[in-house]
Amino acid sequence: MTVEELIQNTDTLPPAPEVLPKLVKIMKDPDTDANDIVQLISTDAAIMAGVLKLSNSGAYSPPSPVTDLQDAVAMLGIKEVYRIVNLVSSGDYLDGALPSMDIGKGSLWAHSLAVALIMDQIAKDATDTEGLPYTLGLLHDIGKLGMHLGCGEQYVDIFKKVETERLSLDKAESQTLGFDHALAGSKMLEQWSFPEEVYLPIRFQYNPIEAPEAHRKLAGALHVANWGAAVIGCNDGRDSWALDMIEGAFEIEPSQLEIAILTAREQLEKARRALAVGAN
Amino acid sequence: MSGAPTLPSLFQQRVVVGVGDLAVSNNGNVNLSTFALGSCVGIIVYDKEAKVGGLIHIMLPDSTLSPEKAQKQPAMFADTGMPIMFRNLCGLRAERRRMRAFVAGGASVISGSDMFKIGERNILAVKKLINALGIQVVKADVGGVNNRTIHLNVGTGEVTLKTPLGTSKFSLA
Repeated sequence: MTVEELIQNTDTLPPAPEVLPKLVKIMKDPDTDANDIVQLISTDAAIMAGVLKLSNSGAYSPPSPVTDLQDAVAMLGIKEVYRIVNLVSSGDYLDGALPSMDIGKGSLWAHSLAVALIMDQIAKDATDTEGLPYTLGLLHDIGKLGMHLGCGEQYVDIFKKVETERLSLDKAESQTLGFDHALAGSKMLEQWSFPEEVYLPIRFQYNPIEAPEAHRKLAGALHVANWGAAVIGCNDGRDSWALDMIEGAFEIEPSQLEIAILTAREQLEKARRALAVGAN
Repeated sequence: MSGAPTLPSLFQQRVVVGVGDLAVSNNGNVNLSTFALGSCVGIIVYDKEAKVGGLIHIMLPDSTLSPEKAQKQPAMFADTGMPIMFRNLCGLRAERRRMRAFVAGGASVISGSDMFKIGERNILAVKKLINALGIQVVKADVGGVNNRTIHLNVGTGEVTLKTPLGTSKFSLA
Protein backbone atom coordinates (compact mmCIF):
# COMPACT_ATOMS: atom_id res chain seq x y z
CA MET A 1 0.00 0.00 0.00
CA THR A 2 1.25 3.50 -0.82
CA VAL A 3 0.41 6.61 1.15
CA GLU A 4 -1.73 7.75 -1.80
CA GLU A 5 -3.73 4.52 -1.67
CA LEU A 6 -4.20 4.96 2.07
CA ILE A 7 -5.52 8.50 1.59
CA GLN A 8 -7.74 7.68 -1.37
CA ASN A 9 -9.49 4.88 0.50
CA THR A 10 -12.43 7.03 1.54
CA ASP A 11 -14.28 4.00 2.95
CA THR A 12 -11.90 3.86 5.87
CA LEU A 13 -10.90 7.48 6.45
CA PRO A 14 -13.24 9.90 8.24
CA PRO A 15 -14.97 12.65 6.22
CA ALA A 16 -13.11 15.92 5.76
CA PRO A 17 -13.78 18.68 8.28
CA GLU A 18 -15.51 21.64 6.63
CA VAL A 19 -14.96 24.59 8.93
CA LEU A 20 -11.42 24.20 10.27
CA PRO A 21 -9.44 24.44 6.97
CA LYS A 22 -11.42 27.56 6.04
CA LEU A 23 -10.88 29.04 9.48
CA VAL A 24 -7.11 28.53 9.29
CA LYS A 25 -7.10 30.22 5.89
CA ILE A 26 -9.06 33.28 7.01
CA MET A 27 -6.82 33.66 10.07
CA LYS A 28 -3.92 34.23 7.64
CA ASP A 29 -5.67 37.33 6.36
CA PRO A 30 -4.78 40.39 8.47
CA ASP A 31 -8.14 41.96 7.54
CA THR A 32 -10.13 39.14 9.14
CA ASP A 33 -12.54 40.40 11.77
CA ALA A 34 -14.96 38.87 14.23
CA ASN A 35 -17.84 38.88 11.73
CA ASP A 36 -15.92 36.69 9.28
CA ILE A 37 -15.34 34.12 12.00
CA VAL A 38 -18.91 34.19 13.30
CA GLN A 39 -20.24 33.80 9.76
CA LEU A 40 -18.02 30.80 9.09
CA ILE A 41 -18.77 29.00 12.36
CA SER A 42 -22.50 29.60 11.88
CA THR A 43 -22.43 27.26 8.88
CA ASP A 44 -21.93 24.23 11.14
CA ALA A 45 -24.54 23.71 13.86
CA ALA A 46 -22.51 21.04 15.71
CA ILE A 47 -19.43 23.26 15.96
CA MET A 48 -21.54 26.24 16.94
CA ALA A 49 -23.16 24.24 19.76
CA GLY A 50 -19.74 22.96 20.87
CA VAL A 51 -18.32 26.50 20.94
CA LEU A 52 -21.21 27.77 23.07
CA LYS A 53 -20.98 24.81 25.45
CA LEU A 54 -17.24 25.20 25.95
CA SER A 55 -17.45 28.99 26.22
CA ASN A 56 -19.80 28.55 29.17
CA SER A 57 -17.71 25.85 30.85
CA GLY A 58 -15.48 26.18 33.89
CA ALA A 59 -12.46 26.53 31.60
CA TYR A 60 -13.58 30.06 30.73
CA SER A 61 -16.11 30.97 33.43
CA PRO A 62 -17.59 33.94 31.52
CA PRO A 63 -18.98 36.76 33.72
CA SER A 64 -22.42 36.23 32.15
CA PRO A 65 -23.75 33.31 30.07
CA VAL A 66 -22.57 33.18 26.47
CA THR A 67 -25.73 32.76 24.41
CA ASP A 68 -24.55 33.26 20.84
CA LEU A 69 -21.36 33.42 18.81
CA GLN A 70 -21.18 37.22 18.89
CA ASP A 71 -21.22 36.99 22.68
CA ALA A 72 -18.45 34.39 22.61
CA VAL A 73 -16.21 36.55 20.42
CA ALA A 74 -16.96 39.70 22.43
CA MET A 75 -16.26 38.05 25.78
CA LEU A 76 -13.42 35.68 24.94
CA GLY A 77 -11.84 37.37 21.93
CA ILE A 78 -11.10 36.04 18.44
CA LYS A 79 -7.99 34.15 19.50
CA GLU A 80 -9.77 32.15 22.19
CA VAL A 81 -12.78 31.40 19.97
CA TYR A 82 -10.34 30.19 17.32
CA ARG A 83 -8.82 27.79 19.87
CA ILE A 84 -12.25 26.55 20.90
CA VAL A 85 -13.26 25.85 17.28
CA ASN A 86 -10.01 23.93 16.85
CA LEU A 87 -10.76 21.85 19.94
CA VAL A 88 -14.36 21.15 19.04
CA SER A 89 -13.50 20.25 15.43
CA SER A 90 -10.55 18.02 16.23
CA GLY A 91 -12.31 16.11 19.01
CA ASP A 92 -14.37 14.14 16.49
CA TYR A 93 -11.17 12.83 14.94
CA LEU A 94 -8.92 12.42 17.97
CA ASP A 95 -11.10 11.25 20.85
CA GLY A 96 -11.42 7.59 19.83
CA ALA A 97 -9.13 4.74 20.82
CA LEU A 98 -6.48 3.41 18.40
CA PRO A 99 -6.12 -0.21 19.59
CA SER A 100 -3.50 -1.08 16.97
CA MET A 101 -1.14 1.36 18.74
CA ASP A 102 -2.38 0.68 22.30
CA ILE A 103 -3.73 4.23 22.47
CA GLY A 104 -6.74 4.42 24.80
CA LYS A 105 -9.90 6.45 24.29
CA GLY A 106 -9.24 10.15 24.75
CA SER A 107 -5.47 9.69 24.92
CA LEU A 108 -4.62 10.90 21.42
CA TRP A 109 -6.75 13.99 21.97
CA ALA A 110 -5.09 14.69 25.34
CA HIS A 111 -1.65 14.21 23.77
CA SER A 112 -2.52 16.48 20.85
CA LEU A 113 -3.89 19.10 23.21
CA ALA A 114 -0.70 18.97 25.30
CA VAL A 115 1.38 19.50 22.15
CA ALA A 116 -0.92 22.38 21.12
CA LEU A 117 -0.53 24.08 24.50
CA ILE A 118 3.27 23.75 24.40
CA MET A 119 3.35 24.98 20.77
CA ASP A 120 1.29 28.00 21.74
CA GLN A 121 4.06 29.07 24.10
CA ILE A 122 7.24 28.11 22.28
CA ALA A 123 6.36 28.79 18.64
CA LYS A 124 4.41 32.04 18.64
CA ASP A 125 7.39 33.93 17.18
CA ALA A 126 7.83 31.35 14.41
CA THR A 127 4.81 32.55 12.41
CA ASP A 128 2.70 35.63 11.73
CA THR A 129 -0.49 33.58 11.51
CA GLU A 130 -2.46 33.85 14.73
CA GLY A 131 -3.22 30.48 16.29
CA LEU A 132 -1.27 28.41 13.76
CA PRO A 133 1.09 26.76 16.32
CA TYR A 134 -1.94 25.63 18.32
CA THR A 135 -3.60 24.12 15.24
CA LEU A 136 -0.38 22.31 14.30
CA GLY A 137 -0.18 20.82 17.79
CA LEU A 138 -3.74 19.58 17.67
CA LEU A 139 -3.42 18.05 14.21
CA HIS A 140 0.18 16.80 14.28
CA ASP A 141 -0.78 13.15 14.92
CA ILE A 142 -3.91 12.99 12.73
CA GLY A 143 -1.91 10.59 10.54
CA LYS A 144 -2.04 8.00 13.34
CA LEU A 145 -5.80 7.87 12.88
CA GLY A 146 -5.36 7.29 9.13
CA MET A 147 -2.74 4.59 9.74
CA HIS A 148 -4.86 2.84 12.35
CA LEU A 149 -7.91 2.80 10.08
CA GLY A 150 -6.08 2.01 6.86
CA CYS A 151 -3.30 -0.36 7.88
CA GLY A 152 -3.58 -0.93 11.64
CA GLU A 153 -2.76 -4.64 11.27
CA GLN A 154 0.78 -3.69 10.26
CA TYR A 155 1.57 -2.34 13.73
CA VAL A 156 2.40 -5.77 15.14
CA ASP A 157 5.43 -5.81 12.84
CA ILE A 158 6.12 -2.10 13.29
CA PHE A 159 6.30 -2.38 17.09
CA LYS A 160 8.45 -5.51 16.80
CA LYS A 161 10.89 -3.34 14.84
CA VAL A 162 10.67 -0.52 17.40
CA GLU A 163 11.41 -2.89 20.26
CA THR A 164 14.04 -5.15 18.72
CA GLU A 165 15.93 -2.62 16.60
CA ARG A 166 15.30 0.35 18.96
CA LEU A 167 13.90 2.49 16.17
CA SER A 168 11.68 5.52 16.55
CA LEU A 169 8.07 4.90 15.48
CA ASP A 170 8.33 7.04 12.34
CA LYS A 171 11.45 5.17 11.19
CA ALA A 172 9.90 1.75 11.91
CA GLU A 173 6.80 2.78 9.94
CA SER A 174 8.90 3.99 7.02
CA GLN A 175 10.92 0.78 6.93
CA THR A 176 7.79 -1.39 7.09
CA LEU A 177 5.35 0.58 4.95
CA GLY A 178 7.48 3.01 2.97
CA PHE A 179 5.88 6.01 4.69
CA ASP A 180 5.25 7.26 8.24
CA HIS A 181 2.24 8.72 10.07
CA ALA A 182 3.61 12.25 9.63
CA LEU A 183 3.45 11.90 5.83
CA ALA A 184 0.05 10.20 6.01
CA GLY A 185 -1.29 13.01 8.21
CA SER A 186 0.18 15.66 5.95
CA LYS A 187 -1.48 14.07 2.90
CA MET A 188 -4.82 13.79 4.72
CA LEU A 189 -4.67 17.47 5.66
CA GLU A 190 -3.72 18.47 2.12
CA GLN A 191 -6.63 16.45 0.76
CA TRP A 192 -8.90 18.14 3.31
CA SER A 193 -7.89 21.55 1.85
CA PHE A 194 -5.77 22.78 4.75
CA PRO A 195 -3.13 25.30 3.62
CA GLU A 196 0.51 24.22 3.32
CA GLU A 197 1.32 26.19 6.50
CA VAL A 198 -0.48 23.35 8.28
CA TYR A 199 0.44 20.22 6.35
CA LEU A 200 4.11 20.92 5.65
CA PRO A 201 5.35 21.46 9.24
CA ILE A 202 3.41 18.30 10.16
CA ARG A 203 5.02 16.41 7.27
CA PHE A 204 8.50 17.32 8.55
CA GLN A 205 7.95 17.09 12.32
CA TYR A 206 10.39 14.18 12.68
CA ASN A 207 13.07 15.61 10.39
CA PRO A 208 12.62 19.39 10.59
CA ILE A 209 16.05 20.11 9.18
CA GLU A 210 14.79 18.84 5.81
CA ALA A 211 11.65 21.01 5.84
CA PRO A 212 11.37 23.88 3.32
CA GLU A 213 12.88 26.92 5.00
CA ALA A 214 9.55 28.72 5.44
CA HIS A 215 8.22 25.82 7.54
CA ARG A 216 11.40 24.69 9.30
CA LYS A 217 10.89 26.57 12.56
CA LEU A 218 7.37 25.30 13.06
CA ALA A 219 8.39 21.74 12.15
CA GLY A 220 11.22 22.04 14.68
CA ALA A 221 8.89 23.38 17.35
CA LEU A 222 6.57 20.40 16.77
CA HIS A 223 9.54 18.06 17.10
CA VAL A 224 10.30 19.46 20.55
CA ALA A 225 6.68 19.95 21.69
CA ASN A 226 5.86 16.31 20.90
CA TRP A 227 8.64 15.27 23.27
CA GLY A 228 7.41 17.81 25.83
CA ALA A 229 4.00 16.12 25.88
CA ALA A 230 5.71 12.84 26.76
CA VAL A 231 7.42 14.57 29.70
CA ILE A 232 4.04 15.42 31.24
CA GLY A 233 2.85 11.84 30.79
CA CYS A 234 0.70 12.61 27.75
CA ASN A 235 2.08 10.10 25.32
CA ASP A 236 -0.06 7.05 25.71
CA GLY A 237 0.55 4.06 23.48
CA ARG A 238 3.20 1.51 22.88
CA ASP A 239 5.44 4.08 21.21
CA SER A 240 5.53 6.52 24.16
CA TRP A 241 9.28 7.10 24.03
CA ALA A 242 9.93 5.75 20.52
CA LEU A 243 11.05 9.20 19.50
CA ASP A 244 14.21 10.36 17.82
CA MET A 245 15.45 13.73 19.07
CA ILE A 246 17.44 15.70 16.53
CA GLU A 247 19.89 18.13 18.02
CA GLY A 248 19.42 21.67 16.76
CA ALA A 249 15.92 20.96 15.46
CA PHE A 250 14.61 24.00 17.31
CA GLU A 251 16.48 26.67 19.20
CA ILE A 252 15.13 27.07 22.71
CA GLU A 253 16.63 27.47 26.17
CA PRO A 254 16.01 24.34 28.25
CA SER A 255 14.56 26.41 31.10
CA GLN A 256 12.16 28.18 28.71
CA LEU A 257 10.98 24.82 27.42
CA GLU A 258 10.56 23.42 30.93
CA ILE A 259 8.44 26.41 31.95
CA ALA A 260 6.32 25.91 28.80
CA ILE A 261 5.86 22.24 29.70
CA LEU A 262 4.86 23.05 33.30
CA THR A 263 2.41 25.71 32.16
CA ALA A 264 0.92 23.42 29.51
CA ARG A 265 0.36 20.76 32.15
CA GLU A 266 -1.64 23.17 34.31
CA GLN A 267 -3.71 24.34 31.33
CA LEU A 268 -4.25 20.78 30.15
CA GLU A 269 -5.88 19.67 33.39
CA LYS A 270 -8.34 22.54 33.14
CA ALA A 271 -9.10 21.87 29.47
CA ARG A 272 -9.52 18.11 29.97
CA ARG A 273 -12.10 18.71 32.67
CA ALA A 274 -14.03 21.17 30.49
CA LEU A 275 -13.90 18.97 27.41
CA ALA A 276 -14.51 15.65 29.20
CA VAL A 277 -11.81 14.14 26.97
CA GLY A 278 -12.47 10.45 26.38
CA ALA A 279 -15.85 10.53 28.11
CA ASN A 280 -18.10 10.59 25.04
CA MET B 1 -16.03 -19.26 42.59
CA SER B 2 -12.99 -18.53 40.49
CA GLY B 3 -12.72 -14.79 39.72
CA ALA B 4 -14.88 -13.74 42.69
CA PRO B 5 -13.35 -10.91 44.74
CA THR B 6 -11.75 -11.95 48.03
CA LEU B 7 -13.04 -10.31 51.21
CA PRO B 8 -9.96 -8.13 51.82
CA SER B 9 -10.00 -6.88 48.22
CA LEU B 10 -13.53 -5.50 48.74
CA PHE B 11 -12.14 -3.05 51.28
CA GLN B 12 -9.13 -1.91 49.25
CA GLN B 13 -9.08 1.73 48.27
CA ARG B 14 -6.93 3.14 45.50
CA VAL B 15 -5.31 6.55 45.90
CA VAL B 16 -4.02 7.80 42.57
CA VAL B 17 -1.04 10.11 42.73
CA GLY B 18 -0.94 12.43 39.71
CA VAL B 19 2.04 14.12 38.07
CA GLY B 20 3.65 16.46 40.60
CA ASP B 21 1.72 15.02 43.51
CA LEU B 22 2.41 12.87 46.59
CA ALA B 23 0.48 10.78 49.11
CA VAL B 24 1.33 8.99 52.36
CA SER B 25 -0.85 6.57 54.29
CA ASN B 26 -0.94 4.24 57.27
CA ASN B 27 -4.25 2.69 56.22
CA GLY B 28 -3.63 -0.97 55.44
CA ASN B 29 -6.53 -1.02 52.97
CA VAL B 30 -4.98 1.63 50.76
CA ASN B 31 -3.14 1.10 47.50
CA LEU B 32 -1.05 4.05 46.34
CA SER B 33 -0.71 4.20 42.55
CA THR B 34 0.85 6.39 39.94
CA PHE B 35 0.50 5.93 36.20
CA ALA B 36 2.59 6.69 33.13
CA LEU B 37 5.93 7.60 34.66
CA GLY B 38 7.90 8.63 31.61
CA SER B 39 10.86 10.93 32.20
CA CYS B 40 9.23 11.63 35.58
CA VAL B 41 10.49 9.67 38.58
CA GLY B 42 8.28 7.91 41.11
CA ILE B 43 9.57 7.04 44.57
CA ILE B 44 7.83 4.58 46.87
CA VAL B 45 8.94 4.51 50.50
CA TYR B 46 7.77 1.96 53.08
CA ASP B 47 8.30 1.36 56.80
CA LYS B 48 7.17 -2.18 57.53
CA GLU B 49 7.06 -1.81 61.32
CA ALA B 50 4.88 1.29 61.28
CA LYS B 51 3.05 -0.04 58.18
CA VAL B 52 3.35 3.40 56.63
CA GLY B 53 3.95 4.07 52.94
CA GLY B 54 4.37 7.03 50.63
CA LEU B 55 4.53 7.70 46.91
CA ILE B 56 5.67 10.81 45.04
CA HIS B 57 5.60 11.48 41.27
CA ILE B 58 8.14 14.18 40.50
CA MET B 59 8.40 15.83 37.10
CA LEU B 60 11.52 17.99 37.27
CA PRO B 61 14.67 17.98 39.37
CA ASP B 62 15.06 21.53 40.57
CA SER B 63 12.56 24.11 41.84
CA THR B 64 14.81 27.08 41.08
CA LEU B 65 13.25 26.89 37.60
CA SER B 66 10.04 28.38 39.03
CA PRO B 67 9.82 29.03 42.78
CA GLU B 68 6.26 30.25 42.23
CA LYS B 69 5.12 26.94 40.69
CA ALA B 70 7.07 25.06 43.37
CA GLN B 71 5.17 26.89 46.08
CA LYS B 72 1.87 26.00 44.42
CA GLN B 73 2.77 22.36 43.79
CA PRO B 74 5.99 21.39 45.62
CA ALA B 75 5.84 17.72 44.63
CA MET B 76 6.43 18.75 41.01
CA PHE B 77 10.13 19.11 41.84
CA ALA B 78 12.48 16.62 43.53
CA ASP B 79 14.12 19.18 45.83
CA THR B 80 10.86 20.60 47.21
CA GLY B 81 8.65 17.48 47.07
CA MET B 82 10.82 14.80 48.62
CA PRO B 83 11.46 16.56 51.95
CA ILE B 84 7.69 17.03 52.32
CA MET B 85 7.02 13.35 51.67
CA PHE B 86 9.59 12.29 54.28
CA ARG B 87 8.20 14.80 56.76
CA ASN B 88 4.68 13.46 56.20
CA LEU B 89 5.89 9.85 56.58
CA CYS B 90 7.56 10.72 59.87
CA GLY B 91 4.31 12.43 60.89
CA LEU B 92 2.69 8.99 60.64
CA ARG B 93 5.41 7.53 62.90
CA ALA B 94 7.57 6.07 60.17
CA GLU B 95 11.29 6.20 60.98
CA ARG B 96 13.98 6.97 58.47
CA ARG B 97 16.27 4.15 59.58
CA ARG B 98 13.50 1.61 58.83
CA MET B 99 12.41 3.09 55.52
CA ARG B 100 13.03 1.12 52.33
CA ALA B 101 12.61 2.74 48.95
CA PHE B 102 11.87 1.84 45.36
CA VAL B 103 12.70 4.30 42.56
CA ALA B 104 11.21 4.07 39.04
CA GLY B 105 11.06 6.19 35.89
CA GLY B 106 13.47 8.57 34.22
CA ALA B 107 12.87 7.26 30.69
CA SER B 108 14.34 8.99 27.68
CA VAL B 109 13.90 8.90 23.91
CA ILE B 110 14.75 5.74 22.00
CA SER B 111 17.36 7.30 19.74
CA GLY B 112 19.12 10.53 18.86
CA SER B 113 20.36 12.95 21.46
CA ASP B 114 18.06 13.63 24.38
CA MET B 115 19.42 17.15 24.62
CA PHE B 116 17.20 18.17 27.52
CA LYS B 117 18.03 15.04 29.58
CA ILE B 118 15.10 15.48 31.96
CA GLY B 119 14.89 11.76 32.81
CA GLU B 120 18.59 11.55 33.57
CA ARG B 121 18.57 14.75 35.63
CA ASN B 122 15.53 13.54 37.60
CA ILE B 123 17.25 10.26 38.48
CA LEU B 124 20.40 12.09 39.61
CA ALA B 125 18.47 14.57 41.75
CA VAL B 126 16.46 11.81 43.43
CA LYS B 127 19.55 9.69 44.12
CA LYS B 128 21.32 12.67 45.65
CA LEU B 129 18.42 13.51 47.95
CA ILE B 130 17.85 9.90 49.00
CA ASN B 131 21.55 9.48 49.79
CA ALA B 132 21.56 12.69 51.79
CA LEU B 133 18.60 11.43 53.82
CA GLY B 134 20.25 8.04 54.33
CA ILE B 135 17.33 6.02 52.95
CA GLN B 136 17.98 2.49 51.78
CA VAL B 137 17.01 1.95 48.13
CA VAL B 138 16.25 -1.74 47.75
CA LYS B 139 15.30 -1.65 44.09
CA ALA B 140 15.39 0.77 41.18
CA ASP B 141 13.98 0.47 37.68
CA VAL B 142 15.16 3.60 35.92
CA GLY B 143 16.13 4.89 32.48
CA GLY B 144 15.19 3.02 29.32
CA VAL B 145 12.47 3.92 26.87
CA ASN B 146 9.27 2.71 28.51
CA ASN B 147 6.53 4.30 30.57
CA ARG B 148 6.04 2.72 34.00
CA THR B 149 3.11 2.37 36.37
CA ILE B 150 3.74 1.59 40.04
CA HIS B 151 1.53 0.60 42.97
CA LEU B 152 2.15 0.14 46.70
CA ASN B 153 -0.09 -1.95 48.94
CA VAL B 154 0.26 -0.08 52.23
CA GLY B 155 -0.96 -3.08 54.25
CA THR B 156 1.67 -5.51 52.98
CA GLY B 157 4.45 -3.36 51.48
CA GLU B 158 4.02 -5.17 48.17
CA VAL B 159 5.03 -3.15 45.12
CA THR B 160 3.75 -3.78 41.60
CA LEU B 161 5.65 -2.44 38.61
CA LYS B 162 3.96 -2.46 35.19
CA THR B 163 5.67 -1.66 31.88
CA PRO B 164 4.73 -2.52 28.30
CA LEU B 165 7.18 -5.44 28.71
CA GLY B 166 5.34 -7.02 31.64
CA THR B 167 4.41 -6.87 35.32
CA SER B 168 6.60 -7.67 38.32
CA LYS B 169 5.91 -7.74 42.05
CA PHE B 170 8.22 -7.52 45.05
CA SER B 171 8.06 -6.52 48.67
CA LEU B 172 9.46 -3.56 50.57
CA ALA B 173 8.47 -5.21 53.86
